[in-house]
Amino acid sequence: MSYTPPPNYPLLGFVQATAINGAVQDLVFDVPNDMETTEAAGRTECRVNSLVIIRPSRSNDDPGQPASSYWPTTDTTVDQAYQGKVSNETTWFNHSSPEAMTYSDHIDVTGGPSLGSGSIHFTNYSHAQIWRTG
Amino acid sequence: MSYLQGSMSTLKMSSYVATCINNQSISTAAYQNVGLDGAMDTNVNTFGTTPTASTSTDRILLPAGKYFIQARLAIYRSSSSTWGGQWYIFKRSGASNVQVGYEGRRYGIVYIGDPQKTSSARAYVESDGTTEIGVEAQAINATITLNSTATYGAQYSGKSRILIWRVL
Repeated sequence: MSYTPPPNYPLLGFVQATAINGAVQDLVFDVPNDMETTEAAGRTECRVNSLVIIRPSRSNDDPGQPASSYWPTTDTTVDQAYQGKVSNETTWFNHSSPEAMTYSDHIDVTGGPSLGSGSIHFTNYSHAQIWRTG
Repeated sequence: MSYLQGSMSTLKMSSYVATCINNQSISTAAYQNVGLDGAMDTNVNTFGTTPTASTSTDRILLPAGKYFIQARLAIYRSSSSTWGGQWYIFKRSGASNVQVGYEGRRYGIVYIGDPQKTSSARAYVESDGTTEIGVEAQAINATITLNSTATYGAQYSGKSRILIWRVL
């Protein structure tokens, strides 16, 4: 007879993305800090269902000045209420917030409609907030 | 940086997302209610209660508990001139709307000057079971549209949402 205690992962914290020069769906949250997340093939496992809010950070655009929208996973791509947007440096006619959210056990950023062309320079300030709910 | 919970099995939390009507025009004249579409999407609900959104009052009734509220609006104007919008969460008090928490603000192509604010209004609200909250918005310099369905509108930016976390 044995007793297995419940998992004792950190409840609330932040994981970071490695800086890239590319498209928003290329962002990978592979710096777990002490959140005990794991990453493989661009997908970050949160271990349990969590409220996930991602906040990309942009340092510069290519001359095409792209702006992109996105979702944290493929599961929420039909719901614009959960969508986030990273504006370009000259901006466009629509604005919301960079925060895209979902309730999921993983992060796998999916790109939505975008404007302009070229790459976005994402910094390693890009991060995801994970609030585990078990 | 993280917070370590003693035991995952003791955690309770509920999270909901209220959404807003499409193509609401917001003027510069005064703050006005942001229209709700009545939806209340539940992400997780370990408390077992659900807020209720009214399309007639544009307010949300919160069951007894303690809440963090975060409201982000999708604003739109097809213009290269100076424009923007700002909004806050209110708590109903008698027949009045009283601002709570911190204001959100976004602007268009031209920088509209200080103060800069976050892209979401945020508030902490305690409800006794009769507390109602909502969002009021005002345009800056020129009329804006919330949740625009025009080309380059919501499909490129996402829609307005009011995120409600019940934490106690």
